[in-house]
Amino acid sequence: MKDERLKKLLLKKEFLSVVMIVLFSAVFGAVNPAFFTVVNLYDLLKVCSYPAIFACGVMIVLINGGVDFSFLWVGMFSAYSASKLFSILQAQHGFTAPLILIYAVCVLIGAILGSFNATFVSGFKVPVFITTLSSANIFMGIMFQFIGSEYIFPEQMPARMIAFSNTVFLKTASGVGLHVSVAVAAAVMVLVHFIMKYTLMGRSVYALGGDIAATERIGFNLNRVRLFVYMLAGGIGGLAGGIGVSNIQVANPYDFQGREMTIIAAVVIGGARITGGSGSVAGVALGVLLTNILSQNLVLIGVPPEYNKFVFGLLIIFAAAVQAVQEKFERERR
Amino acid sequence: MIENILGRIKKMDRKFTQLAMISVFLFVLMTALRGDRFLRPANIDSMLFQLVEPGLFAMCIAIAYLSKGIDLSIVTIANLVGIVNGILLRRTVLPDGSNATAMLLACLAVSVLIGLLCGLLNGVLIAKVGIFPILATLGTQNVFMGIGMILTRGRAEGNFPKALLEFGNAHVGGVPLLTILFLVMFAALCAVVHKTPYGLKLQWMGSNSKASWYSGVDNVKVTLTTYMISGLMAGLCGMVIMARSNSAKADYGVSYVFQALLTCVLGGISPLGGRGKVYNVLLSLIALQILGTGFNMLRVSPLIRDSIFGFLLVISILLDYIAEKRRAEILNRRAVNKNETDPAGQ
Repeated sequence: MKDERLKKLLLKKEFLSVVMIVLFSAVFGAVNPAFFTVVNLYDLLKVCSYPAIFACGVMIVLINGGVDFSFLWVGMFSAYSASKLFSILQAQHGFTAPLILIYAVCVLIGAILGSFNATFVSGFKVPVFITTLSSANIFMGIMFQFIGSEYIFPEQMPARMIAFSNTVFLKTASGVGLHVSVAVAAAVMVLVHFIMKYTLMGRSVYALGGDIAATERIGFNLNRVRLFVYMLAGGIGGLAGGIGVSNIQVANPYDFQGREMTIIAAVVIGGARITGGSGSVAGVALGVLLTNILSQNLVLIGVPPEYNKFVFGLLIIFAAAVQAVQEKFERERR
Repeated sequence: MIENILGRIKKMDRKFTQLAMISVFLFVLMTALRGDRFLRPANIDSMLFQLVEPGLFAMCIAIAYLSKGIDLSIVTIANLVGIVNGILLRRTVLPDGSNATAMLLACLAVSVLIGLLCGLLNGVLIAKVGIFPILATLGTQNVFMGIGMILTRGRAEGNFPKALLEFGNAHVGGVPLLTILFLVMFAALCAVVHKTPYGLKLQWMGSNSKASWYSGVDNVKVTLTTYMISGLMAGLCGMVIMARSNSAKADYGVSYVFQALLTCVLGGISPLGGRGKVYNVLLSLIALQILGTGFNMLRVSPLIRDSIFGFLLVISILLDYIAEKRRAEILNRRAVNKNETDPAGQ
């Protein structure tokens, strides 16, 4: 009985990341006590905030059965367009846009871009990563050609975004506070968890990722599920982009470039299966936390920064190998 | 006579004719738009040169696609080869360069070895451990790049012996030697995929791995061979990059992967495995090269160029999809007609 429970725990997808987080934290903390300070924890959570929101979007697409490569450009496209729009309105018409409106525009643009992805994906029988790779390039080109490529500096940025990025809460005695974007990330995660776990649409996303033919026979409209998936992921991506831009306080169109793989890897390390049908928000949170603990804190224990890539690669391989072995076990148990 | 030729063309691979027509069209278009600059020997020469690196990477992706996999680590394998060779040459070549040729041959051996080993690692992770190709090669991509970073601390290796650069710039009968070597390798890959038992097994496994396993194909061995071939070609491409750019860097040319994926999809190699003809990749490579040079001459910015490539990919996928659907419809209608007419005839 006890043995059975242990086996179940070992087979749990999120188990690995929990173990590794505890392990790495222990090692980092032992070598450098600065790791276990509130400042470091708050810093870590701030760094994790907008990648975690992006990762939620990636997870939804992954559960549906495909790797999304376009999310960073969806995010940048939405955030940059919104920042530019509201900075122009602010400079020329003196209109200080409320925060909700700015982020609503980000989400809306993201959802529209997501619906393009949905059209591409449900139309063609081609792996999702190829369609989204090309749509990423298309979004990027459209943005640079028609919207702009120059930086938007803090003094031009919408004032409310800047004010928002200076907000902290849960202040300690020494005056250090937790950044507000962490709260946004937490809210998004709770929302996504709720949608994916307790709504019919959310469950149908899992079903579609697990078995397309069966899902269709039960009576789900596959195209509608896909439209939902990509619009939701796009909206989340748009919001993540907005938060990312406000965190840095500069709308730099090149800012997210080339970070796709880190976030996708974080989602997979958190236990989402790359072929679809499995994945959880808790896993995503753990995966993002784990990858950022590693990339932020290797320097703390005296490992030179050029080792980052190598360690990160090993982590991906290790996590993927453990998953593969777990799945083999599961198949044998049945 | 003309009917004969047309008939023969019709019989040939549909994708082949389509791509050949696109290439010819683009060539004529560029000649019409900027003929004076486009047809200049120097330009043709540089286009032939530029074909080599993306071409080799596209070959890697093509063979991985055929096995229903993907190899994201190719560019980092090439960079790793360049870095190791660069360090080797820096340590061993005498100042007067008298042993340069011998050392370069040693480098070639090292390239082959590193390529095969990296490919073997990919293959083992995919076939033995059971990790999905996209994940396994994403991991090894980071590992290989990481090793390169550790070896160089992020700096570039460079100043290779003159002999290597002379080799890189050599011409045989007016055609760059590297291009000729690339074409030879390309022909070899075509032969391996379409004429050998291994190639047939590769395509079987790509289209249905369960069926191929039940019919006695050793899937593990085929996968290992595939990724080793891919690694080998990537390793040799590392030598090419050394010779052409006189430097090696851990994060050089990361966008080559996207370009290679694009080239293969345009060339009709299905990422779903098993289907496609490798020789078509050469045509799509040529078409993309003409397009790239054309964009350069028309002063289109690289970012817009990438975006247009993205559009192209989507459009080509769309056209393929429509063609496939229509073919299925025609077959369907034929089958229906047959069923309706046959009983009446009896």
